[in-house]
Amino acid sequence: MKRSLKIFYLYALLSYKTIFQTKLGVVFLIMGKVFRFLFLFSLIYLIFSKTKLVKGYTLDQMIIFYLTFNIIDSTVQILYREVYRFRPQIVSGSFDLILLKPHHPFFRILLGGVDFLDIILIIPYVLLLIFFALKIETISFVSIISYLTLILNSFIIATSFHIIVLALAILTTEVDHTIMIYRDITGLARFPLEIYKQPIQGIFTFVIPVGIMMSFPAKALLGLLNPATYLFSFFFSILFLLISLKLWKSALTKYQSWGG
Amino acid sequence: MKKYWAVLTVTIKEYFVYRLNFILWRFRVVLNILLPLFLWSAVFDKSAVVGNYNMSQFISYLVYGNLIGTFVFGTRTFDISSDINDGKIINTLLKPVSFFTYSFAKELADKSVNVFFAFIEMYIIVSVFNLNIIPPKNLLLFIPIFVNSILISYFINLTLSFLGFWTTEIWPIRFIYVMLLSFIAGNYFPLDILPQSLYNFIMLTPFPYMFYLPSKLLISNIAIQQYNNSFIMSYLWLIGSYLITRLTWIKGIKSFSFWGR
Repeated sequence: MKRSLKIFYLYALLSYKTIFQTKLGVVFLIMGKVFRFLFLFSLIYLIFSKTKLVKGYTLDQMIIFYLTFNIIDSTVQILYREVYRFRPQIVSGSFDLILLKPHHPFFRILLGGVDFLDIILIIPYVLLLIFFALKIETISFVSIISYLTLILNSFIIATSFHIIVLALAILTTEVDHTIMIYRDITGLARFPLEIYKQPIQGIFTFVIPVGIMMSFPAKALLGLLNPATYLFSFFFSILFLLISLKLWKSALTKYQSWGG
Repeated sequence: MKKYWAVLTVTIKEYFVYRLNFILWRFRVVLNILLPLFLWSAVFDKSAVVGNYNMSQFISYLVYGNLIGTFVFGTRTFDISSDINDGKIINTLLKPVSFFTYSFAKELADKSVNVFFAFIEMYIIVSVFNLNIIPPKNLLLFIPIFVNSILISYFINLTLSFLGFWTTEIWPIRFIYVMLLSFIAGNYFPLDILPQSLYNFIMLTPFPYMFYLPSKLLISNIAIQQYNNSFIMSYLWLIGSYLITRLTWIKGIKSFSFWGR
């Protein structure tokens, strides 16, 4: 464990140095992310200036969904940014050099590029969430614990998604934006999935579990989730993780290395 | 003209070499329209009118806007900045072609492929979700404004790519541009539902003339005179963006040097 943490720390340190070599880039990227967050945040206010409820949700509830999405999404990007750079390593064959290293390849290809820009952004997201959560009358100690547990569950699902993206990069070198498809799909859950008609709602809850990942924690905090759903969420995330690991192992056997 | 036609057709063929990649790219485009479409549909569950729009006008704005956006925003100019940075642009400069027309031919190929598939996708979305779309209006007015949108977008994208003559950090600058474009061009809602002062401010920027104005024209019943200022601004931005692009190109090409080719 200590060795693993040290390897993670070393890769994070290298990532930090790489990111902050391009200072102007850092400023522009943070500005862009802040702008995107503020725009969608303002969009919620704009919507609620025209109506009082959206699919039964109030303004504060909607904001909790949005902030929860941002917290999960940003944390996942902090940890798994390196996945965005994996495909070129497969195409060039330089993944060989990673496989030769005396540690699990996930340390490099999954966790090896900590994104420090998102660390800066996650702090205001959490503070805003606390502010808006305190305005919810039904909030309780149990709902907070449920929320945090389901957030952890979301990270398991997100990890599985990223492992699947890694596996697909090996299996199909033709597709160069699988991770962006993941981003677009999860982006649909910025707001409660109830806004979508069927079958979209069902697909994005039970087939591609972005609903479980992004909406369920917020629902738990608001006391809108029944106990059976918790069990279903945990079962689904563990199953999804096992499937992703199986796919990864299978993909690894198909990797053809240099000149393949 | 024949050689630019050849560039256009070759670029289209390139897309169909990587078919799976292309299909998934289109899937992403479909995903991106779903959020504004359903979010606003949910709002209309409780309100009959938003701003000056009823549900079918609002949804028509988003659907037409998506088609327009596919044509206006689709671009291949991303390649130019990396070509400048790694020197590959020399290959194009040595060819007996106008660089601007050559890249515009590639741009048109990208836009044509995208808009062809966008029509099919939108037809499916409208049919599956039974969306009530109003027939397009003001087509004669729309066409010149639509051409302006394409050209303004093309020139701004070119200018951003030409920044590659001075810096390798084009991606963060483009990221800011894409964010602004995504949100204040009117992709998520017609801009005139915003507070008046904010709306007036946004109308001073080039972004609404690439999406909002042509989309609004297609659904609008308002008298033409009310658009006069917007039309003037659209042409001003067209001229302005063209001049900036030419200036950046002239300055950039003078400062450009590379070796080994």
